[in-house]
Parts: sequence; C-alpha cells; structure tokens
Amino acid sequence: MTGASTIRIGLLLPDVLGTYSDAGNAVVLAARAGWRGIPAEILTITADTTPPAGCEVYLLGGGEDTAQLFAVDWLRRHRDLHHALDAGARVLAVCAGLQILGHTMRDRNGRHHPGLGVLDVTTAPGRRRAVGEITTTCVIPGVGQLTGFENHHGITTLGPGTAPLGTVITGTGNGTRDHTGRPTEGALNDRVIGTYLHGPVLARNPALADHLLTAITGTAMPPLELPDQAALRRTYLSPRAAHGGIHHRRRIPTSPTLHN
Amino acid sequence: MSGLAVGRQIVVVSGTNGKTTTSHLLAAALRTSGPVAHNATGSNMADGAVAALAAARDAEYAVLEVDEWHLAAVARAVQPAVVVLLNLTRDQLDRGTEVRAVAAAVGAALTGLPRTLVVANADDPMVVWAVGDAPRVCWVAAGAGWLGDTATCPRCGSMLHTDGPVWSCGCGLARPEPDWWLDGDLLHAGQEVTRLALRLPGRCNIGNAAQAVAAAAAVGVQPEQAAVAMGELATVAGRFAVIGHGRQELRMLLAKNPAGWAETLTVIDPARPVLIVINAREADGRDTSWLWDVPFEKLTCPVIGASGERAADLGVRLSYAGLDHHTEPDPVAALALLPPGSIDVVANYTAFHQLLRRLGPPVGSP
Repeated sequence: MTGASTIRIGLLLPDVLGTYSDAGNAVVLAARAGWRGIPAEILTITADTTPPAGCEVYLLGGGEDTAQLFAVDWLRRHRDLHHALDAGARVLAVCAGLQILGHTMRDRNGRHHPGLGVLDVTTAPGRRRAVGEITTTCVIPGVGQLTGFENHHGITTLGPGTAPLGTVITGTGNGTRDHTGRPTEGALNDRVIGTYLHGPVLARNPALADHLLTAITGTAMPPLELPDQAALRRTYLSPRAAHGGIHHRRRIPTSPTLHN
Repeated sequence: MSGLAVGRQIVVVSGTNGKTTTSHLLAAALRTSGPVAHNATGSNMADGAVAALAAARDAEYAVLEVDEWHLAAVARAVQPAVVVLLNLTRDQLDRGTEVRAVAAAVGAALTGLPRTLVVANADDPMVVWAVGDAPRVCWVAAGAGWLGDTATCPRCGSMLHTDGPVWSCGCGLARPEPDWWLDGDLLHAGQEVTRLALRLPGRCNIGNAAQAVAAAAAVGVQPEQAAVAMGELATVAGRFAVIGHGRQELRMLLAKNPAGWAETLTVIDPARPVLIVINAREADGRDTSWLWDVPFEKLTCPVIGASGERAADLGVRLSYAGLDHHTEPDPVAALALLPPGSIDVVANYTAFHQLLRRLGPPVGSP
C-alpha cells in the first residue's frame, strides 16, 4: 500500500497503445511530482493484468488501428476502470487514446466503432494523414503555447459540452474549427485532457504537466528549471520553427543524398 | 535493372535493423566463392541496386540491401534467388508508416516471387505475418531483442501468448519451427553445428550472421566457409569503427530507433564516457518521441554527453532518466568536453554520417 498522499499514475495499456512513445508522459508526471517532494508511483497496466480503479490520473497513448479497437474492448470489459475514467480520475489521452474516449470512431471502410463515451467527441478518417510538427495556443490559463508532433488520420469533431485543448497556430490538429472559425486541437472537459500531440506532450510542455499535478493535488506547483528544457522549447516554438525553419537548419555540412 | 540481373545469384536483404551489417556479412561469405556485386554504402533504394549491379557486371553473386518500401520494385526486377527478412519494428513513423503497413507491403512483395527462397526470422511475429504464405521459406530463430510493436497479434489484434522464444495467437499465427537456431554463438541446422565467432559486437549481430549463413548456404556456400569469412569483418560502413581523435579513441556505434538502442545498450562499455548524437532529419525521422522508448535509465557510464541537432530533446530525456550530462549540439565541440581515452559514440543515421565525415578515416582503414 502507498501513503494517502502518493499520486498513483495509471499508465494504461502501454503494450497496446505504445506506438508513439507516449508512455514518457508517466515518467514526466512522476518525476515532476517527486522533484517537488510529492511521492508518485507509476502503475504500468498491461493488457494481461487486472487494472486498479483507484488511480488519481490515468494516461492513454497512441496506437495503430487494430490495437485501438482492442483497447476499447479491454477498457469496456473492466467496468470499475471504465467508471473511474468516466466519473472519478483525471485523464490524459493522446491520439488513439483521445479517439477511443469519444462516442464513435469511423474507420476507413465506413464502419462505425463505438468508443467509451467519456468525451463528447466523434472521429472520422481524414482525406490525408496529418504528420509533422504542430503548435497551438492552449486554452488553459497559464499554460501558454503547446508544441508536439502529430501523426494521425483522424478528423475529430467536438460536441457542444467539450472545449478544444488549444487553437492551432501551425499544423492540423482536430481538422475541425470552433464557432469563430479557428482550427482546434484536442478536447478538454473538467477532468479529461485529450490531444493529438506526441513528443511526449508533457515532456515538451512542462506547464501542462504541472497543470495536471496542480489539478490532482489541489496545490500550486513551485517553478522548476530543467536543463535543456528552454532550449527544447526554443527549437519548436521560435518564430523560425513556426515557419518550418527547423527542418532546414544547416549547422553542419550534409551530404546531398541520404538513404536509409 | 532486370537486364543487369540476368544470370546471377542475387540475394536481397531487407528489414528495419541490421540490413547494412547483414549484407556486409553475406558479401564477405559469398566472396569466398566468387566476385560479389554489393551496394556496400547502404544506398538501398532502386537506384543503389542498379548502380551496384552495373559496377560489377561480371560478378556471379549480388548482395543488395533494400529498403522495406522498395522491396517490391527491386525484387520484381531482379527476381532474387533469396530474400533475407531480418525484423520489422517501428522506425521513422512520421513517414506515415505504421509498422503493420510496412509488413503488409513486404508481404505483397514476397507473393510476387514464386521461385525465391525467403530466409526469415521466426522470432519476430511481424516478420512471420509478413511472410504469410510465401511458397519457399527457410526459418531462422535469429532472436528479437525488442518486442514493443508486437504485444498484439499483427494479424488479428489479440494479445500474443509468449513462452520464452515461442509465441502464438488464438487466430493461428504462431512461431514456425525454425530450420536454423542459435545456442549462444553456435548455429544449429539439423545435425550440423557452426560456430559464429564474430569480431562485430552484440547479440543482434550473431542473429544477423545466422540469417547470413542460411542465405549463403542457399546459394551454395558452406556454413563453415561462410562463418570464417564473416568472422574477419571488424567494421561495417563505419559502424563499430575505432577512430583516433586527438588523445581520444572513439568507437562509433549507430543506433536509430528503440530496437537498435535496445541492442546498443548491451554493447556500450559502462566504464567509458559516452557521447550520444541525435538528429531529426528526414532520414532519421522528424519526430524525436522515440527517445522515450529507449531505457536510458540503464546507462551507467561515468560521463554522458548529449549532442546533435536535437541535443535539447535528448538532454531533457536524460534529465528525466535521472542522468547528469552536458549538452553541446556540435558533436566535435562536445568531444572536447570529454576526457582523453576510449569513448563510445552512439549516433543516429544522419548524425553518424556527418560525424564520420568530420572525423576522417578510422584507425587502420585502407
């Protein structure tokens, strides 16, 4: 047993929804809590285990299409966990994780697959895959700009009760717009954050990680300076990066052809 | 290309990791029997294959390393005697290529080759699924160090059952009975045993060598003869080369994705300083998220340098792994911050080749 004040971080199905390295979000949350003197524990919940339903926060990551359908079935089968996602815990869901928390997902053959209905969103396939750097302005006060790497085929439509996590500066995001015509990224309600951003998103955006920790603990997080973090943010959020400049840096001479 | 291929015994090598090393091992083995055309520089699209075949028109054998996505086009043109399929794991996802899509493309390429023998890794579920119903298959239990992409069945999406190296799924996809298998560095085939005494380090290279021996045997080179020739190879296109740099001796290691790193972590000398160099150009994959699938927490090197165009991404990852490090994006400047003596340098694809060019030729190279 852990002490009452320990944050239990439930990393859901990293063996199934691990294609895009989103498990790093758990490492970031645990470390940033620990560095503030708040004990935190990562519970790695693989498909062959019975999931605990009492975590303060659950994390879901991105995966491939077959894995996504498996994950929906698995989560629905474990009713206590499904209930915790629906009504108790905080949740960060990335990419396929975001899609499976919605009402339905339509596949490329036009078939509808029911999601868990935790978020008021629906997803359908887009015409082309959205792949590349994305920057957004986060709607959560104090979080600022978000940077991430998106890699998905989904167009996600938000229901009336659901806000986007951010508005898109560069990149694709949900592929849908809000009522003022701005392109949106992700989904947000009072407990659940859904996003298409990989990176992992909490490694690239420590303010979002601290927002989650504040929401879980009810206390503000003191500032934390991590080496290289500012340089990482500059890589992706400088005006030059916003115009695609990071793809064309030439610090070092390169060969004209590279095969791999 | 098909004209250049007529009358030769051609072996094509494909898979996510180990293509270049395996094709060099195989070329060394076949050279004991005759001249070999080989795209030795790792130029592994169709143009590289054409150039290699044209450059050695009289060679009786050809060894062609071919990118997974170009396998269908190259194989259709050259009608290889053998296709070696090593492993299929995540690599460069931002090209829009989830690994199952790569496997499906490889599978489609193989169905168009009724006379070709496929030498395939029985330990990799993604490979076994890709090989599918190919008519002629030789299975090698070459090992699979990293199974992060195959917790679920490639065919049906259910959880795979695993018991040691044996794996299976309720849908019927299962590890085939291997024709060749390893016991340490001993390679077994029926009653025959061949020792693979390699100069190249790492367990994965034993597996690569096992598949190379099986492929060599298929085109008539005896396993013992192949193994001796492969044992003499010390570097492969700069990989594993030792380069003198002032008072430092750099051992150059290439690792470009989580599966490659899983193997490289077993090769890195824990007593030496290590310099890690990460770029994110097109050939590397633009997305650096994969650094979070590498268990850097296992590194115990006394000094760690983070470098490359994405040194900051790497530095953040190392900090969260609890590792002290210094960060300097220019790798040559980063080397100046490390002590004299032996150093392991681990770089991903473009970072590796940039650094090789800047450092000059390896010690003892021709």
